[in-house]
Amino acid sequence: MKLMKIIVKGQKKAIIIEYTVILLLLIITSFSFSFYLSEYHDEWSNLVLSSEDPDFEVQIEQNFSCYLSNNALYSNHFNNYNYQNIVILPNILANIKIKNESIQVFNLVLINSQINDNSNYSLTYNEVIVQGDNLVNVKINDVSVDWNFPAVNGNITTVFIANETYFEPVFSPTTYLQAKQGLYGINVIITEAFFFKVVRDTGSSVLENVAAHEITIVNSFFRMNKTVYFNLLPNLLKENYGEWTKELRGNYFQFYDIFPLNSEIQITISFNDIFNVSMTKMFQKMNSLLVRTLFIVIVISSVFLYSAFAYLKQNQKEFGKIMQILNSRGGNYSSISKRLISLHIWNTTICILVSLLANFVFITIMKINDWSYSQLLISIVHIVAFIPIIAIQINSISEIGLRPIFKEEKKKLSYSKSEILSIIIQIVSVMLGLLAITVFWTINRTSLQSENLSSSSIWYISVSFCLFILLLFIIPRFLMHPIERLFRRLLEFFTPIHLYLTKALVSAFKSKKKLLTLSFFLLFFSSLLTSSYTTLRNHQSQFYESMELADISIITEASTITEIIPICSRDNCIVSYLDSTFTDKGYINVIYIEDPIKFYENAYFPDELFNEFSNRDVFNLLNLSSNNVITSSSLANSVGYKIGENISIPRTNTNLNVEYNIKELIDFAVFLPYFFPQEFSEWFLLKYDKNESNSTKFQYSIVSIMDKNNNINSLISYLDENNLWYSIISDDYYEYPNETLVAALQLPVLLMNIAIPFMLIIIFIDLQRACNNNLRFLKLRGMKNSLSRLTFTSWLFIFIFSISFTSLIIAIFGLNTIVYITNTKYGLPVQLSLTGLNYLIQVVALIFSIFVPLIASLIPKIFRKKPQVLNPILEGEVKNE
Amino acid sequence: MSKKKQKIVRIIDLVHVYKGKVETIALPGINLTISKGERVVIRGKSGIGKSTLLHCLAGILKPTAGKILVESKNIVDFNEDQLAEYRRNTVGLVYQSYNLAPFLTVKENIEFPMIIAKVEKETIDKRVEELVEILEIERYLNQKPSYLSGGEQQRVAIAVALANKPRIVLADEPTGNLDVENSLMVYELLSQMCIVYNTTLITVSHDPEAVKYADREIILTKIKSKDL
Repeated sequence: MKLMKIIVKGQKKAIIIEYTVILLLLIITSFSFSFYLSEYHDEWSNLVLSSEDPDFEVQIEQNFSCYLSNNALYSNHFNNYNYQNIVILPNILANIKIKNESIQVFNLVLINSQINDNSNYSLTYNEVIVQGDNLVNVKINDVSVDWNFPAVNGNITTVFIANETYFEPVFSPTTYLQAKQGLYGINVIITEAFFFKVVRDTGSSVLENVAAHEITIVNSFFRMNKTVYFNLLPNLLKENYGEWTKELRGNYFQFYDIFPLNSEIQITISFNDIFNVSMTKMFQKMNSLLVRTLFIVIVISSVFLYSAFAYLKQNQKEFGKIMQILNSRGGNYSSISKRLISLHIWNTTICILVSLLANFVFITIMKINDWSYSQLLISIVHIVAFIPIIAIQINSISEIGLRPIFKEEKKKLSYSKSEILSIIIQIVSVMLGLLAITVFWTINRTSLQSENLSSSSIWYISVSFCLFILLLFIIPRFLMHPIERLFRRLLEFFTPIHLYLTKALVSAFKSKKKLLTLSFFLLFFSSLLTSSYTTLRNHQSQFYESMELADISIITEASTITEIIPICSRDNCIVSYLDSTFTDKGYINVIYIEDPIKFYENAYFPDELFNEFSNRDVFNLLNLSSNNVITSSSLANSVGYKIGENISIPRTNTNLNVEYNIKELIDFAVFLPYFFPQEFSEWFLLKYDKNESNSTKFQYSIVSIMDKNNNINSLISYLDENNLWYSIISDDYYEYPNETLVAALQLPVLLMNIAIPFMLIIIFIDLQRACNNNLRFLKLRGMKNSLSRLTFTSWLFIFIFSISFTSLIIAIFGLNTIVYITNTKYGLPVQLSLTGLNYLIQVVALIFSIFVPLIASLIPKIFRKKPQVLNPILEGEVKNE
Repeated sequence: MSKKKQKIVRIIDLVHVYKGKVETIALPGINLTISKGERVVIRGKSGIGKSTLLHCLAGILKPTAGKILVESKNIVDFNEDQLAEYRRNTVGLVYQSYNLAPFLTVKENIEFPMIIAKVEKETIDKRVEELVEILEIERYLNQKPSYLSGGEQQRVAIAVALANKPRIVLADEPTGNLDVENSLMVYELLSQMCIVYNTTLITVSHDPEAVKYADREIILTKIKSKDL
């Protein structure tokens, strides 16, 4: 304890400065992220908590008797959904008199409990609200409403006269259906509960006698409850939103398919993508803010870390003296070193606690403390900041050990002990990190959208990640040894002084260890960014290409296919049919394709992505028999299928019953969902059997047309005029999910590829200077200049070759782990893609390594650092005059 | 009658000007002759050009004008490779700051001039043994120079300079960093070694003690073109 006190006393100033720097670093970094979080929170709350727009709208026009018979089933079928129902009943069912004048044109409007509960005036039985314009001077007593049929307990009491804007928020949730609702003029508003009580009391036949064939319009507005996702990752909400809309759409078709009587029903469906669009906009906005925040944080952190590092380095000298004094008083190196490490860790821990406290206060003031993102991100920021700080501290302590404080050889042992201690700490940290990441991931599988990842996959990813980190930090440290050996071996063939030359160069390089590490990391980051960029660019083009089956795909009602085919000529288009069915395994789409080989030839297949056969083999097999099926790997896995297994494919027969056909799963491809829009993503692809065509009812047909052979615009106009098409899939229909990331990477990649060579050349020149200083000793003893130049150039070349390609390999290894994680989520797998751009920085570095003496000589003298003068005689050697 | 000594170094009208914003004439036109085996001490005030003269003699600095004839060859006309060979075989250099390669051990420092001169391994070993014994540096053979004291380092530097049995040893302020005791020891050693190996010794020094170990003292003054 006394020793610790002495160290603290001696290092008081250093500790305070270090403490201030680390604290400032942590606070500025985490506060920057807190501001970002606050912005994010505002945007996110607006989007998720106060999103009033309906996500799914349906307008069904049917006759009154149909409405009466379906309503109970409808309510039961959709009772799990949060929806508002506005029904415009035939006004013949009721009479309204205002100031004893009978009103002929009015709407009899039913609202469900969802609207009623949320409106300012909740209606009970027998109550009615009359709403309309020009009712300002009308009093409740002036209005009388009664049924136009003999009602049992059906007296109606007018309770409120509302102006035209009163129900606007609920009657006009979106502009899409508003025009069709016809809710203008005078509306007589009653509740569903009241109306159906009257129906039950009176008997539906009484009402049907009055209005059996009158049109009844049902407007349903469905809203997904997004608030439960408030504390989850946005992508999970997006995914669930997609699932929800798909399921609801399927439910609708299932509900109305069940009723053959509904052939007269006209359904207008509007799947609003407002939420997805606003979410994408929010992401774009927040991504650009994140990039700006990151940039600021990186700059600030670099400055602070550098300051801390520079200060600790400077402090080493002073601390070296303290150690010498303590040592002479009987303290040994390891005990001093251990205490110093504890002191630094303690210092950092206090800083982190203070910073966490400050952040907690800050996020409480910003009112985002209860948001799980803020807690998560602030914790991550502190953990991320903690690692470089500790690394710098350990490094600086090891450096003290490196200094020849004591001349005796036994002191070298102290250094090796300290280095071993440092390595052990690092390895233990990595192992703990591995364990923490794996446990964290396993526990938060749901919120991290990794449910489909098995435990072994999580371990694989964690181990790969840790291996990557280990390689990244250990390889630069140990790379020198193999390079030294290789270089010495090569040099042995050319000169007897190979050993001396190697020692001179190694010693020079060791004195520039930090610069070498920096150049390794510069090359690594450049490789990682460039590889990420080229990989994403490749994935982006694959995404867009694979979305195009042909130039354009038109989704039509299956019944209209016979009208469309003659227009676009069968030879120039690919026809497929879609059957969407509910099975015990969920809602799936089965696509029956008329000509699989044509499909294959027009589709884009990135490499050979089928597992057992080539792409063509798979489609040949599919073409030969209608008993084969291919599907996406994620779907096959999710329903527990394997290649070669027989699977049951559901099909709706002519009696509108679902029957199952046994098919063989010949192979699966992981990218195929992208041939169709995401709403049809869960599908099985089969060959269309023409013999069954007449006996099969399909929901949709898909006609894929090649623009070069058809005049698409005139075709679309024709289809539009005749209401023959449902929707069009074109290549710009879906945006690549990583579009923002690709765009954001473009500039950094460009800047890195421009800036890093400049930084490298500065480093190389400095290395050359260090090497020349060492080689001068040998030149003074008679080594030729030419040999010196050649040796340096070849040494630098071998070194740069080794570190640049090692950094590239590590970057690719790291990226591969990221790609592995990504591929568990995406249908279209990301494939590592290396182009010439990936090798650019390496090639430039190698060229620079060859020409560094020439480049150095071209740099104006004023920019050159004066060489370290070992002896005045060396000054004269710089240049013969 | 003494036998006429063979001239090993002849400096004729040697001029060196340091160029810069202000041109500095370091050597105004020196003429000097040194005989084989002679021990010469060059003295003079600071900035008079002593070290410049020695650098020119070592082939490290190319003079602005004049000739330096070493064994009748004008080293001023030598190209880089010839100069390297000259430094390797003809001259041995001893500096004030020792100029020992810090990345090599004492033994490697001594061996290096011989290895580069392609001397056979056995001969190298014998020579190293002989030098370390005379200079009493056996203990430090496997240590790096930074672990040695100034006097010890200078003894190693002498061994390095004499490793290839040079005909001329050039010493630039060899005792500049040493105390009186060590200085005397260095002078003694240099002097003795040159006698033993019949080597010409040219020492640049401020130290009046150096004269005691020299055959001739040359004083550089500001007088231009003084024949020495």
